[in-house]
Amino acid sequence: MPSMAVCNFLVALATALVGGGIVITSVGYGIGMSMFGPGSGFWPFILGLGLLVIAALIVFDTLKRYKELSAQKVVFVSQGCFGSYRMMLLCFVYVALFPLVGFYLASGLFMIAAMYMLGLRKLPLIIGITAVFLVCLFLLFSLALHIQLPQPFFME
Amino acid sequence: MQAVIDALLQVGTLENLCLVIMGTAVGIFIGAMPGLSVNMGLALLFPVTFSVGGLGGIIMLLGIYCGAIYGGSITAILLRTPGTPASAATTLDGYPMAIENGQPGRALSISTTASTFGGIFSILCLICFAPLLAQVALTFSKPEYFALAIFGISMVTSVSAGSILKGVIGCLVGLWIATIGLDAMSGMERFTLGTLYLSGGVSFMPILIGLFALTQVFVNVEDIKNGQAKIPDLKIDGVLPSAADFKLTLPTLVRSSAIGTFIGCVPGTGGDIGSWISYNQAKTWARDSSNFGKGDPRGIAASESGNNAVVGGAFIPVLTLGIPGDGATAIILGALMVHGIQPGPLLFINNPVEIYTIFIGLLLANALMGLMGFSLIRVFTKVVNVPKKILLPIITVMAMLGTYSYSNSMPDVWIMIAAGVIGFIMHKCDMSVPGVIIGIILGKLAEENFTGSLMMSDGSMAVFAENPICAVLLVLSLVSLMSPTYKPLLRKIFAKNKD
Repeated sequence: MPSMAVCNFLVALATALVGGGIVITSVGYGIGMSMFGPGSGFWPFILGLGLLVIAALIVFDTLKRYKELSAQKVVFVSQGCFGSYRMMLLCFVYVALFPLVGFYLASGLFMIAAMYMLGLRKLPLIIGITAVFLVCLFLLFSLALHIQLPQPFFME
Repeated sequence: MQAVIDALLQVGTLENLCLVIMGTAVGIFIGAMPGLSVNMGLALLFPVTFSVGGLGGIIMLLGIYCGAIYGGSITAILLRTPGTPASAATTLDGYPMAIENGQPGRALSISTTASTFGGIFSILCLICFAPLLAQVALTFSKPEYFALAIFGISMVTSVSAGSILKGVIGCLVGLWIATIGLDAMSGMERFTLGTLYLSGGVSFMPILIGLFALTQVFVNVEDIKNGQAKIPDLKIDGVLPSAADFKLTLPTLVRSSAIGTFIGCVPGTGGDIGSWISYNQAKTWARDSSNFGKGDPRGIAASESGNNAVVGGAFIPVLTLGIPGDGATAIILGALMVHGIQPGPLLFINNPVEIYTIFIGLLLANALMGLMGFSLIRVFTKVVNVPKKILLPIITVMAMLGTYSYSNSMPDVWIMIAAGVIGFIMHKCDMSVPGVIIGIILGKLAEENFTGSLMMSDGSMAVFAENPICAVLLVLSLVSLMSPTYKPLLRKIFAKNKD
């Protein structure tokens, strides 16, 4: 289980990498003044520099409060966290299904899987809620508001 | 006086009353649905104005505009899913009060009161000071706009729960995200990785929905799996705010409404900027700000009165100068012109009945919004009592639907999921989310006006100091940014003096 101090160092490292990347890329866009004003990279260059400064400040602050921050644990591995990761995975699969089976079918499958994963075991209730909710969405978004939602590949 | 009576008679017809009621109800619904924007609602119902005689259709559009800004707060408070960008700041105190403190009725009643107060306050300002405020707003040039954006950005220190430095990182990253796409000045592509999608810039809505709604879903799943999920059995005693709450929030309501009205006057701003600045000012002026972010009534009152006050403010340049400040007022301006009303300095002389009809229509829409809000609080709070195992999948589907329908784009949905995952990691690392949102909202305003100011001054930074409004705003921004360093010191001094 990493401590908040380690977490802070990682945040500072990621910030420095992003900031450095922005600075280098911005220089390529031009950061000098011309008759049309500052170059396209001028503003992002300032932001990149700002990120580098903040990364340094975080390292400094973490070193200053190292004892206090080392005692704080950041939980990334627990039963709860794995539940969240499974939900994330389910979301990825759900969206990946949009172009294949369309929005409504993908949503139905997702809702059934998500409710089951969260511990609901009454199948008639799960299917009933899913059906009623999706019918409401269909009436409102597709019929009343004519909003185009992803269609299954076989209906396109 | 005759014009006022004629306007009252026009608004008071059964048909027009029904239209304003329908407009407000539709607006509240649209506002509460993430992904359905005010502009979408106005555009969808714009054709209805052709089939309605007189100004009935316009009054309906006013109802939608007012209702939608308020409606966004309902889901922001109950589900931590802002229905509109303008209600993102409401999540900071609304959600903790409703869910963590178990007072959803109180949170909704404060937000309804604040929205109604802010809306009516700004319309009274519109009636009394429209020409004067329009003149002040028109003096804003690029340096003032830049200073206004910086003033907004400076609030990142006060909205960052946990580590302020990490909040600033979020804000800088948000500002950088706003630079992705074509540079408005030179037309150069920046950070697009050669993709067509990114050359149009990253849409704001998917990130907002991902960081707030989806992150909260992941956090709640973790709580359920850890067995820490609270059993929702929340009951509400009353739907009106208590006298103590009203007394506590009254100064905030007045201040935030004034801020929101002024922000609304400035073209190119909007309810989102109005609510964040109002929130920041409420926290800055509070004698004890330690409860902000944990369900402070003043936090809800500030953001809600601030964003609803923008409505009246936004009509000041529209009616007096014919300049729309945002997409919603542009649609309403178009509707007015289609109906033969030409906004501008002569509007008050040539069309007195029409102008008073609009004023009365706006007042009525706000009053109805309050009435509907208070009467539906008990219904809204039922959402909280739905078990999380059922509610979380529904919120996720709504988030996907809202994101997709916003611009019919699959990449937006992927960005929303990525924002949700990043938001979850940020939550773990004690990083505050609002900073990112503030950065994205204000990024374009800040950069375009910064570059424009330097072009005006041939690259001289003195342009920001020469202008009084700009200089004052920049000094205030610095004071606000540095507040975490001097506030503890000031507290110590005051504590010593008390002893």
